[in-house]
Amino acid sequence: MKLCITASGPDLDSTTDTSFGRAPWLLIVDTDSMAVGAVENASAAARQGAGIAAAQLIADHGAEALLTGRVGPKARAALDAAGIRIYEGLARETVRDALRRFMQNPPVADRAAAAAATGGGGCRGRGPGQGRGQGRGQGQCMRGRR
Amino acid sequence: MDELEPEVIEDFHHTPFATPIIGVTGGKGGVGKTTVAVNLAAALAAHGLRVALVDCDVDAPNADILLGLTLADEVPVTVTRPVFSPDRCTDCGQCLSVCRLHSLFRPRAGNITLMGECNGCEACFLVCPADAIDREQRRIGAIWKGGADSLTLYTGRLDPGLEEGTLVVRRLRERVAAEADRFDIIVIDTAPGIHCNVIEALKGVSLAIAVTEPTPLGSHDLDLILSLLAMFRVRGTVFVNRADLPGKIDEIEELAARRGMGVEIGLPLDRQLLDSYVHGVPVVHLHPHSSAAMTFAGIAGRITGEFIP
Repeated sequence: MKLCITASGPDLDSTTDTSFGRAPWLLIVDTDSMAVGAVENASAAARQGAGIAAAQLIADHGAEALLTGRVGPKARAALDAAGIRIYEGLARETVRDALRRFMQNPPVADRAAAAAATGGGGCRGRGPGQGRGQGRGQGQCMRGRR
Repeated sequence: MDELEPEVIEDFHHTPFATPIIGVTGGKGGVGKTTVAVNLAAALAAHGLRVALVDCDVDAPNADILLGLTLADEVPVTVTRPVFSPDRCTDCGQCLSVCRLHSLFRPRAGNITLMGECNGCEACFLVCPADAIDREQRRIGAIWKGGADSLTLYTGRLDPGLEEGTLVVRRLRERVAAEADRFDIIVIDTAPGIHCNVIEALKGVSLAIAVTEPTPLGSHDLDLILSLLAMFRVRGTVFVNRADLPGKIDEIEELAARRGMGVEIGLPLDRQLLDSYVHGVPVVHLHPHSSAAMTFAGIAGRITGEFIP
């Protein structure tokens, strides 16, 4: 499976980044071969739509699942449309440690988690954000500001 | 303060018509912007001018109420939303990269979806080489026209819960621009605040009247709007409403002086002005000999002298 982990740097020793759209690096790990592909998140600083752009990037790189801290509603819709499974609750640690824990004890994917929530039992909370990020104020009138 | 590019300022001051525009603004809400705009427009009309009053406070337009007018001639304001046709899409990806809001998503080859917000910029239509995008219109508000003869009111309103207020202001101004040669002068009433709506509303004004009141909130918000006017190099003047409140007029005078602007000690809180507010009739009509009406007649006279050839 190709798993995307959000990170602050381009390799397994980098620290994870718990945001999805604004993470500077998106590491695509092939969990069978353990090959790592580092994709720089060009839209991390976008004023608007960073989540959708990041979803596009990892979909284009063939990711089948995403491990991150938290996914906003628009990115979630995009990931769902692309059939990418979402695992939330990534902690701040090295990508290597996060990957090891994920492989040893695979968490329940987001949809299944929501379905199983009534049964209790260790599911992580979802806590979606507002989906606006830092990106308010796409100026309709302030273009050309120095 | 951020410096604006000269072409931004030039564009801000450009209008496609010669009719002079007077803006009424002020930063703070509830200081009497609309009262000033409505009475100034009525006083200019009484001076014999053909006046267009434009209510650009599209979140809460109410000049029609203060004028006792019924709005008519509704024109919906819509924005274009792209609808993608997978049959015609060649999967070139150009629409994806041109969308500044990153709102387009391609889950599979040749399958583009609008996933985020769309401000109707239409860049995707321009770059699509296969004509694979259809236009769908989405309503965001409406504009109206009312009144007649010497005083015509144009009003815009944004539909509840939407954020495209600036586009409604732009369409409202376009409608006024198309009919601008029927008027001697245009009076624009802006929303409170210093956001995009207000900037759009103030485009091309020859003079901005910043209405305020002698209170701490009044001077705080006055300073904000004066800095916006300075940013766009707009000539401004300050008008003090409720001037007899026991507040600090000297604070307002100091703020204005720092920007090189004059201060008009405008209206006292008088009985006749309240009366006109309660009855929804401009004080210049209801009590033409009141001190408030005289104040507006004086300003109308000076504006006529300066801006009408």
